Amino acid sequence: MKKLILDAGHASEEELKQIDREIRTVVTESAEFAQRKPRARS
Amino acid sequence: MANAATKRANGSHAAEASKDELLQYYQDMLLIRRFEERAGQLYGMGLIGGFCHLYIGQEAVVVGMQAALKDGDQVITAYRDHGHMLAAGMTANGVMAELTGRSGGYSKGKGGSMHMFSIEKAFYGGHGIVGAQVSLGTGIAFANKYRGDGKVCLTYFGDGAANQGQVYESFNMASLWKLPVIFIIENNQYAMGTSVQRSSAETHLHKRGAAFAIEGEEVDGMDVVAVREAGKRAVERARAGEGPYLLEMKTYRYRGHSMSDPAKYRTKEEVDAVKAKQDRSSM
Repeated sequence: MKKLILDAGHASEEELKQIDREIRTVVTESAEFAQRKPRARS
Repeated sequence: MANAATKRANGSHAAEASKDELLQYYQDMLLIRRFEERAGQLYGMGLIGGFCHLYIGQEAVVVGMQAALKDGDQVITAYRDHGHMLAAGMTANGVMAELTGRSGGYSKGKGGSMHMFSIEKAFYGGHGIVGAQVSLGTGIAFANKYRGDGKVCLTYFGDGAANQGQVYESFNMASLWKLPVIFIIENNQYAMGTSVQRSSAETHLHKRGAAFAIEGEEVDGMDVVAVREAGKRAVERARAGEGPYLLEMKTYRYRGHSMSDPAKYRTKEEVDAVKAKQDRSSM
């Protein structure tokens, strides 16, 4: 997919890296969000 | 084995999608990939308890199918469900909090990996009983038809669940009443550790609807645009009142069945070969 996008000239390597960085930030935030929340009571 | 899926991957459908569409699918698939990698890490750190089935490798299936839907169409699946939720637009925060048993999760931290739902995003779970969601999805489609609201329900299950009895009871009723349901078999080629060849007499799972007058086709589940195109055709038929359709997605999971599965039933070479081929159509 990545290669396909690059070959078609839809985005540059740097633009794809930026997308990956943004996604990693979303995921990291989700992990931090989860760990800030109290554990469910049984 | 992976041969069938990888062979077809050579003829890409990418030209049928626009630049914006491709970039969006790439983002959606990458979100699932990174989310699952993180979930795997948190599991390793002991922050996720109970079951956890990662979707890594199969991302193109849910992202492609979601692109074939309209708002309000429903999705129901089994326990390998994080990808379906993210594709449906549920938040990474809500899903991760649920995985870690926290109050901010979709089921207030009491459901865990296999039990999350969203009325807003029309996501109906998240089901731990193998094949059980197939009859539920058929019921959702029945409600759609009864209400005449034009909605279609995507009902996902795996190659293992394809051998469950209630799947065929559902097929019969769905076809008899021409219900707006798409049955999607995510054939990742291993039911836990048992290959399709070892467990199924008819390994072409898209033919499994024939006895119930349900047509089906095999789709390259590693090619997001191929998935979308097949999905659009099936959804259009169902919405037009022509009844159910069966899509067999040939896909592959890179990780074990669950976190406790070292996947010793297949070789590292087999997994690496799929990854190398899939790079073209997926990550």
